[in-house]
Amino acid sequence: MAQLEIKNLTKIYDGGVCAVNSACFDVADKEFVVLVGPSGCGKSTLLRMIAGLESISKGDLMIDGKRVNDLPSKDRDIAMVFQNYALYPHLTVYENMAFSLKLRNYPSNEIKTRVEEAAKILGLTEYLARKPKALSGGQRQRVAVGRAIVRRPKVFLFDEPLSNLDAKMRVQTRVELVKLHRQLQATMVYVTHDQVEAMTMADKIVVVKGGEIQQVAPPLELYKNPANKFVAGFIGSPAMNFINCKVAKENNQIILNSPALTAHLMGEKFSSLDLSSLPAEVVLGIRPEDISLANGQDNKNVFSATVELIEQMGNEIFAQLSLADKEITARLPADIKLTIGEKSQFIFNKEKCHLFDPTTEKSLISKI
Amino acid sequence: MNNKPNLRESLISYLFLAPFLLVFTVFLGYPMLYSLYLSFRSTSFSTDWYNIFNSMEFVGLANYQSLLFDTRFWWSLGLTLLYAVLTIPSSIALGLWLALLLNNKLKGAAFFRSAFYLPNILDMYVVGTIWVLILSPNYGLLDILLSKIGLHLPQSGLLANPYTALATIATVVVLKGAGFGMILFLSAIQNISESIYEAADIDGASWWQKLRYITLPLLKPIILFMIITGTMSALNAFTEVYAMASSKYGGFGGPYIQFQGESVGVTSLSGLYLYQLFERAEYGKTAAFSYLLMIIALIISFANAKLLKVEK
Repeated sequence: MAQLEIKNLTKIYDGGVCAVNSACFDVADKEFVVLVGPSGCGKSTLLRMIAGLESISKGDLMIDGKRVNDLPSKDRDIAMVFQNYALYPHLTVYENMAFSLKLRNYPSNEIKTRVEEAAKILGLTEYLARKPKALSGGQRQRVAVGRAIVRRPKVFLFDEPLSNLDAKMRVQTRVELVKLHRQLQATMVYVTHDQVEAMTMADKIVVVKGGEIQQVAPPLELYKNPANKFVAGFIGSPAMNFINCKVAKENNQIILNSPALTAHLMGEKFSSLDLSSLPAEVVLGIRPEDISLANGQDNKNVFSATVELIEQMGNEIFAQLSLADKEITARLPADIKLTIGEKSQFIFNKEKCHLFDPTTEKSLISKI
Repeated sequence: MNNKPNLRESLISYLFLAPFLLVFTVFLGYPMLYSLYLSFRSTSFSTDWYNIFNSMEFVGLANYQSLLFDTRFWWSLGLTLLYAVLTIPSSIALGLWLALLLNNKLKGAAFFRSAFYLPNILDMYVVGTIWVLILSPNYGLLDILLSKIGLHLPQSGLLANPYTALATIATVVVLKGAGFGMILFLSAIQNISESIYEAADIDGASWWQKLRYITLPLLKPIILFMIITGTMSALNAFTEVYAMASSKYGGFGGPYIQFQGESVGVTSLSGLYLYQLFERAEYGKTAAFSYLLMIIALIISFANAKLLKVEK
């Protein structure tokens, strides 16, 4: 397997549109890296540059320390699974999987062994004689993976391979891919717009927005310490609530005032914050799961809100709460008693809240 | 659930189908059945020449039998086969080549696409006449261009030479029809997902391997369509010969050569021979010939479909 170095990779299309701007990150050997971001953010372009399907305008792409910018796809020793699987419709499953080996003039017994081995791993043995149109979406996806496996490439690339599957199949295949990664001990780069896929599959996540990399970190690190408001809002479901607040400083305490609530922030998380450098206004970020019912607690961070909507999830509820000028979401236990239209007292966990600069949108907490 | 349409639904369906069925019955169904009827009949001494069709006599399979012993019939069939071999593969190759060229991001691709397709909408007789002028010895455009490099067409001209006449007509037909094949191939190629080619790039396929293993197999239905329509065109070929192999160039269907003691035209294709039989008022034999041609066309079409293994 191999390691990948992406150094200031830039893609500028004819007409000057910059799809990827100075992307930098490394993929270690056997690492599963997920590029995640909204549609049109440049993540697929970045993957296609790695694959050699898009030319690189600037920067360096290194595989195992070797610059491969100008190498054609076939010589980069990579394999790719496409969003629409890109199976050859006129070939059987066996022929699809054997195609690349046949082109590379492998002996037929070697091809047979490799294809049968891959088919066994992916549970495709009984479908080898079928053509793609006679397979389900999940089976086609596995054939596409199988086509990549037989090559035993240095790097596996996946371009939103689960997006054409239904929700149930997506979860199932997600698990299968993670198992496969462990089994093959392969270096994998995976593109998705689904943050759940990113969080559940990745060793490391690269968040992309507008062609720029926002943050590169392991899933939990990304969740706990988002570098900016975009990452904070993109990672986590339901998304983080943001409330614009005015900052007041009082006895080494930060007091955030907004028509919606007043927050008194103190404690270890905020102790090392340089109060003098704080802007006059900040964006307070609270994850829905960090909001709970106050239950009569006497706390300065208690706020009152009207329950607008309850979304029943079975094991939990998502409650839409209306504050003075703001609607926020709270993730609460399923057995909690709330009535739509009634006002209730809620509290948020100040230890887990986030502060962002309203201008730069960068996290103020991560400066600690 | 009962999926059977009720009477009212059936009547409405037939009402919508009626205009087509009427046209089909009058102009296709009836002539087909009537020509089958004619193929078992023949004119005789007692035929009333003012009422030929009604007073033809039943002769059973005599018309079919006489065709089987007719040297000109076999000559025209053999010639048609040669004509098909000359036109069909080259039409496919040229159409595919043009389509592959125009599938690239070329400047002026739209212009070339229209320019290549344009001759296809012109009448074959017009195109044939233009080519007769182009191919004329001494004053034709081709001869003038060749003279610039010190070459000349044979004085007799390509169309009057028994060795070049059919090949020349075939070339003209291929050039005229190339645009049609190009459009078919181009639309089929553009329907092949770009990601399949990208997957092939990653799999290590060269340009030729992508053409050989991906494009051509996926174009099989178009190739089959072109073979079948090409076969039909070859069996029905008439206008091109009528326009280009006229009496000036060795006679209608000519130039003529001797074959098994008979003088036969080297451009006397089955369609033309059919016309000549009709001109000689051998309506029964003409109808029998038509049916034999139809059987041949069906056999070739089914054989092609089997050979190319086209699933849909």
